[in-house]
Amino acid sequence: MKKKTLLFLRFILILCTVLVMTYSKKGLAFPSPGYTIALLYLISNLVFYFLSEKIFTKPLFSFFVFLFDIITISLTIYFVQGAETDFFLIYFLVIFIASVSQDIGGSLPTAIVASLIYGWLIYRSDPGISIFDPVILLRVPFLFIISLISSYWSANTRRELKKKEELERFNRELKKEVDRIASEEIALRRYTEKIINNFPSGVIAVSNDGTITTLNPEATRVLGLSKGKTSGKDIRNINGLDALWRKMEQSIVSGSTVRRDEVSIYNQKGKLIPIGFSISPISSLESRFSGCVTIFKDLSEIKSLQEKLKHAEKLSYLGKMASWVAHEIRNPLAAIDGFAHLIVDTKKQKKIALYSAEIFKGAERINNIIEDILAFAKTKREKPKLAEINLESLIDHILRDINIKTTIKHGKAPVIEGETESIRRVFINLITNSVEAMDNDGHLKIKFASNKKWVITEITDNGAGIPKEELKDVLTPFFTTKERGTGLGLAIVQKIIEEHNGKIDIKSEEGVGTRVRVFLPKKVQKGSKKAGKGN
Amino acid sequence: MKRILVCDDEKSIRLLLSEILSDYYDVVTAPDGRTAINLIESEDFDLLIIDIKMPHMHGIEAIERIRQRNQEIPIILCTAYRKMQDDFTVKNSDVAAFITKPIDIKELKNKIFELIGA
Repeated sequence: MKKKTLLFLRFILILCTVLVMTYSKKGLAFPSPGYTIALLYLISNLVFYFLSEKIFTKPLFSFFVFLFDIITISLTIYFVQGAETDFFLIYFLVIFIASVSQDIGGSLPTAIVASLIYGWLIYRSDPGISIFDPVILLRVPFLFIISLISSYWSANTRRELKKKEELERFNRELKKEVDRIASEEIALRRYTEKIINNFPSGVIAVSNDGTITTLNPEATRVLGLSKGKTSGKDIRNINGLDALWRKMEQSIVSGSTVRRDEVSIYNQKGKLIPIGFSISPISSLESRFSGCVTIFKDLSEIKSLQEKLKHAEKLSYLGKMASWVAHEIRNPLAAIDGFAHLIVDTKKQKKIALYSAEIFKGAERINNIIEDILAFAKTKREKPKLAEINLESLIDHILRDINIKTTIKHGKAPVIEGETESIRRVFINLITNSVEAMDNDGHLKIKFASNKKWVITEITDNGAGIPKEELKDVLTPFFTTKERGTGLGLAIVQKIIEEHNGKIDIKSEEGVGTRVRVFLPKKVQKGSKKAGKGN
Repeated sequence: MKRILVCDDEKSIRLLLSEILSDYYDVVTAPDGRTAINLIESEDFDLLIIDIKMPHMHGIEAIERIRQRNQEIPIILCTAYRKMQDDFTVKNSDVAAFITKPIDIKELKNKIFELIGA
């Protein structure tokens, strides 16, 4: 018990004692033993007042205080009031204070001491008194009953108090924790906002109904929006963003992420801007937090650079091609020019025939070069003449003019759709390449296969093969290892195949042979929307 | 009779040079750089006329290899190029003369005569 509380209770106790003494039959006259005891009693509280706080926490000291009180009251009964009076009731107060202070541990010993002293006082005033006399039988057990009841009450009150204190402490801690979490959340929100606001790409989040929930400064800049409050606006009410909203809507409805797509939008100044974007759908139990987040970048600058690069590449390509054309044509031209001079200088008919033949060959070669250049430079027709082509019969036709051992492995009717002459050129070039790579005992194998998407034609020869260091260049325009090659054959093949949305794969080993695989899209059955697009 | 090795991947050019020169010299031909190197290693020649752009091994690489093997043979570079390309550079000291295609027969004959005589 705290010092203040104990001293206050004792003060009440002393006050009661003095009052009872004052209004008792004997009164509190000065000087009298009662008066001295009352004065000493008051002084004792004053003395206790100067003792340190620490000593009051010790149970033994408390017990000493209660013993002191019991003795003081007993002295009063002995010297002043007499055992037969009701003054013994003051004991109850002491026992009560003891129980408040130390529970049963304080009140019970106090009650025992009080009952012993009081019993002795009764006995002393009336030595013949029976132990069953109501004075003893009623008063003494009462001391114990009061001790038990008040300790029970005090313990209960203390428990309640403790509970209340604990509850209050818990509440205080809870409030502290809530405050901490709240401030942390605010810091986290600020941090996230900072990240989004400093993000070098545009970030725009919308809810399912198109309401803009987040829009970072870069997004505002790219979209040319005014710096006013755009958050909370319906994206569908912002002009020029329809194409982007459609993509967002698709992502929200399908729940699938869109990665690295491109779309053109109009900014608020009416300028068409190509943007690259990714969309992630967000689903949440709360509908206002469901929607999608889009990250986008203005591609205007990149696109313009790409255009410039393309242009520069075209120019460089043109220069390279011009130089190549000049070189390629000068060789047969040199032959034509040289043999023409020789014809002029000779009279031998045999020689004239030989030189003339060379001149014709040179002219033919120049013509072939021009044909190849035209085929390579040919731009895709707007409306190509598409036809259904059975590759098997097309290749059969080509093989008729070739005098080499050939094996054909047939597959499911390899039908594609394309420009017949272009496709024929592809296979004439490939088969001619293979035949030229082989000796007379060469063996050409052709295999057809198809899957869901492709018709695959595989042409394998057991010719000289292509050296490893040359394999990577075989599709490069103007690259040739053949004596009479223009270096455009395979480049033309690749170009035609790409125009037909196909692809080519070449594997070769020097001394073993070469395998070329041509993948062309399978003809789509009638009734499908995709039919009819051969290139 | 002095011996000349003509190296060009174009058959018609090989034939043309043979026809022009065979009245005065013994002309041997090779279709590529590798064959030319092998021939020079095994036989004696007084002059090499070589093209630049050829499959497998181009003329410049062939010249470098010939010079690495300490062959002192004079070389005439006969090419359809008008100027040396970036990837085809040759030391002037390695080459005795340049002849461009179409070939000026007179000029060619004079150059050969200057280099090795008749």
